[in-house]
Amino acid sequence: MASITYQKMRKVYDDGTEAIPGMDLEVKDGEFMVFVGPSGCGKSTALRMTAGLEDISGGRLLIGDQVVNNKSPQERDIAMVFQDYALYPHMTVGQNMGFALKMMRIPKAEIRKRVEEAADRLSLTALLDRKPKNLSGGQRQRVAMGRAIVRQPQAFLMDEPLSNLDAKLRVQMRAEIDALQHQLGVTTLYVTHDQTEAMTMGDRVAVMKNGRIQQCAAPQALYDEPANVFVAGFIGSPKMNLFHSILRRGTDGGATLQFGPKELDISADTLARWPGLVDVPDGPITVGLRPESFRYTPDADPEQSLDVQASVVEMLGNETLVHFVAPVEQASDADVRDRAQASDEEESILAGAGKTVMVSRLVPPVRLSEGDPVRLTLDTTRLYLFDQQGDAIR
Amino acid sequence: MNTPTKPAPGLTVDEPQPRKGKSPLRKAGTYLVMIVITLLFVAPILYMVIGSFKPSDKVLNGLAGFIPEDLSLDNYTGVFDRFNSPATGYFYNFYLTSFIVSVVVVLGGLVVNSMAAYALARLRWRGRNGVLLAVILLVIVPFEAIAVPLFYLLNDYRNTYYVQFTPFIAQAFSVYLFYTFFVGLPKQLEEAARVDGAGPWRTFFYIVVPMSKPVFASVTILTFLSSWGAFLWPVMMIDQPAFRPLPLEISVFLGQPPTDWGQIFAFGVMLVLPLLVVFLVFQRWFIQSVASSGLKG
Amino acid sequence: MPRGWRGLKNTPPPMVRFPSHELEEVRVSTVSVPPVVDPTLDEPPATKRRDTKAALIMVAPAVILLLAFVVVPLIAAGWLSLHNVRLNSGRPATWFGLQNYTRLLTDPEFYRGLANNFIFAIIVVPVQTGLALGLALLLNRPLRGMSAFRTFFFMPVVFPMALVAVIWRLIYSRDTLGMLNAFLDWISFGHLGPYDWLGNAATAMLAIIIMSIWQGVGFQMIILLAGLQGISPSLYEAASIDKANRWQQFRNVTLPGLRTTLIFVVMVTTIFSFRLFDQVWILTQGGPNDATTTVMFQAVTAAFSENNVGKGAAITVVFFVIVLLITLIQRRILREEREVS
Repeated sequence: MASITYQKMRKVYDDGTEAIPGMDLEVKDGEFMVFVGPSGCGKSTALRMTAGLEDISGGRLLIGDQVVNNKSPQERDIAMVFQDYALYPHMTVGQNMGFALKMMRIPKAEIRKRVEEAADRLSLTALLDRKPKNLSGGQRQRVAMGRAIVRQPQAFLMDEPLSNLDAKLRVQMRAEIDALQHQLGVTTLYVTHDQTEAMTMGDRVAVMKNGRIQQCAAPQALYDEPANVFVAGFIGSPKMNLFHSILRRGTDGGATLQFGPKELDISADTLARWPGLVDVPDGPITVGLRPESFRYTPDADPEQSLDVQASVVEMLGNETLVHFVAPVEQASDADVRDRAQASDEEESILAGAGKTVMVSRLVPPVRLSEGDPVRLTLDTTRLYLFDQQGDAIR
Repeated sequence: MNTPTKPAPGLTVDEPQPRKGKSPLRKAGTYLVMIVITLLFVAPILYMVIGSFKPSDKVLNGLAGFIPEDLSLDNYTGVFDRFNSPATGYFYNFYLTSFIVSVVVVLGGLVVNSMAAYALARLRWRGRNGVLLAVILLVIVPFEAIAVPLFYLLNDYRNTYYVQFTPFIAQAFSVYLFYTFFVGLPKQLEEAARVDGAGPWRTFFYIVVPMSKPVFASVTILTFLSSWGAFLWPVMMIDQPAFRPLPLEISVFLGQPPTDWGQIFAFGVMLVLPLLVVFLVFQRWFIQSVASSGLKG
Repeated sequence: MPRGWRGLKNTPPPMVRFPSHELEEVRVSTVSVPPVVDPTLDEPPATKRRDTKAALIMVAPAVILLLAFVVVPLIAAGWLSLHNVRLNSGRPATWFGLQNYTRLLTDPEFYRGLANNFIFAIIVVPVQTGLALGLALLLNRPLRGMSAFRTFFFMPVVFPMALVAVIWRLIYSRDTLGMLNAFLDWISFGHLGPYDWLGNAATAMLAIIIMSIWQGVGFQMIILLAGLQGISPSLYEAASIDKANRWQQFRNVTLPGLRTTLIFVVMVTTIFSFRLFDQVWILTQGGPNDATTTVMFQAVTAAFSENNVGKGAAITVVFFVIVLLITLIQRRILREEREVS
């Protein structure tokens, strides 16, 4: 079984900085697992620790059912695709691909066979005698993949392999890598900072921040049920609109959420969608609205809708993205935690009521110009609620 | 042809400055200066080369020494004839000595110093920082500072080949040159090699060395230059003709009256020939080596 | 092939991904958990073990050789300088304390040697560096044929000093047949008479200086040329827009840009001035009357000819201390440079 298991894996650098406090994860055999997060979140560090390029300071790493903490990269039987491809400049494509096999002292005939097979699969056969400097970016990337495939390893580790490609090539290669992984069925760890890549490629995606996995789930689950404010704001493009609000329960079983001067009415039925709310007292709460939860309703009742002014309009053909200023204060994951420690919550929220730019996605597209007044309606069943720690309320 | 638009009123446009290109007169002047300087540098060399083909009495002849007349190879054959016994030494022996010593110092140095530099640059081991510091400190020590004590310590090994090359194979400066180069190589390549299953040795031979041609060339050239011209050490350690390298022998030759200038110059030409050839063929590398050794300082 | 590995045959990929209920969700836990204790993790990682073994083997030859042939002699120099050591005399070395040094300090010949080295340095360092800089500036122009000139200017560097000494011996020949004398005679229409360059105390040092400069200038020139080429041309453009003339550009752009390189070159040449040996040995043997004796010449003579290894070692130690001082001063100046910039 070539699963990869992390048991409280920890990384501390010599100067004391704790890059990864403790990671627990089990990647199943054959799974395509994506580590995604902002730069510095520890995803590359985790990958390198899995590869054996960084020491593991604590905890255990298992590949299959073997503890591999102290094993060399070769002994772990993993292959890696680097961000800059790391192709040996003085060797031809064929030699690059065959190098690892040569290191394993595999007979030449077998090496040739494997290299030719992989080159054929990746359309590299014509390039086998070229040196890396004579290859395009996309070709180099494929050679880097070929080098990994030829190893027939227990797992692939990929460190942002597509970041250096232009957008079109990236989309193409994404599909190819995906298809390849499925065909080969090899456990794959894929690191990227691009959430689109993560969403389109992973069986499961682990969103990381500050060395901790915030949430690991299938892409749709991350989108529909983010575990906290950070994941909510990270997954999805354009970003989810997050703001501070105040929850007030009414006598009828429903509640209202402060939205600047207005209040959003939540019916009792809708409120039942969040059973976890019973543990949440009235008061400050963080609310998330995805851009698609807004609807363009120019004829709606002003009491039931939002009147805003479009500050930026992006007509994208299939949809319109309207940026507008909302009279609410923006929430991000950092300050939610800090806020929880401030006293007199309600006052501070009202007093510091700033403005936030929100983005709404209108489908089908609407023709609007900058400065136009826009009346939007909110679908309150599509709210995301988070407590003062930033965790999702379910 | 588009006519350029006038600048808006209120904006001033400077007159374009005259191009830096010089007038032909200045160019000619510069070339003249360069040629004069070249003559100053080349004159003694020319003198030697021309003189090596002339009969000896015409060499020490004032300015006429420059005139190529009565050219022949007599001096060259004369050199071979002159050194014809164990007492005088054989000319091919002098050459052989210089050759053996230089080759061992250069090749041995390339192997020994590059390996050490790689271990210091890329491997993790206890004591690495200490050894690195020691090497950097040793760069400061010029050979002259240890010549006398080495002379005392190795006194029993005089008149051999190995006393001429062994002390010079390891050079702190060469290690330092290799070190700074290796440290500048992209780390990802070595990581890829590591993931591919190459340990330190194989990474070094298959990946690092092929990528380090410039520094290997530099070290080869600089080491060869200093080894072929070695004088101080042979002066102290060698008194038998059989083990004399060329520079030492030419000074002995000079001191043996009567001074046969033609032959001495022929000797000199043969002495410097390998250096000149390497220099002219590998000029760019040569100059590059010198420049980078200076910038590293 | 490892288990689970399907071959590269072009079978269509399965369409079904992992059904979501099979994959557990993982949420961040904010409760800190005690680390797992596993004794097999106490060994150093395989990488480090293998690195250490390889590193030690790789570094061993160089370290052993350097220890044996640099460090040991360095220490031996100190030890020897404190003893009375005669080679091949059958007598063991006897403790001499600081006598070798005190004798040196009262030896006029030693002072003469030291002075000669200083004179050499004081003349050669500025002259050779200035010439090298001038040549580098000349070469730095985009004129055709510059690389050929560069080759010629650099050529003397390729010549071993021993050979250079032999050639110049002839040039300095003291009758009118000597090249230099003949040349002076020619351009002065006979007024500048033949000089005994190497035999005359007044001119011997000068002769050696000129010859050394001839051989060495190319080396510095290359280093300075590289330094010049490292100065960004946009600095010059900015200066010329500011209406700086050539001399001002030189002072305000070139010299500052060359500062580190110049300091290095000056240091190396200064140290080299104290290493002076080959030319002296071949041409003058320190004469006439100690006019050209140098520190290293005396060190070698003491050990080699006078059979006084203790004295030779003591001189060597003094030499090394001088070199150290010069190096430290240079490092200090450079460090201040870096802090200022």
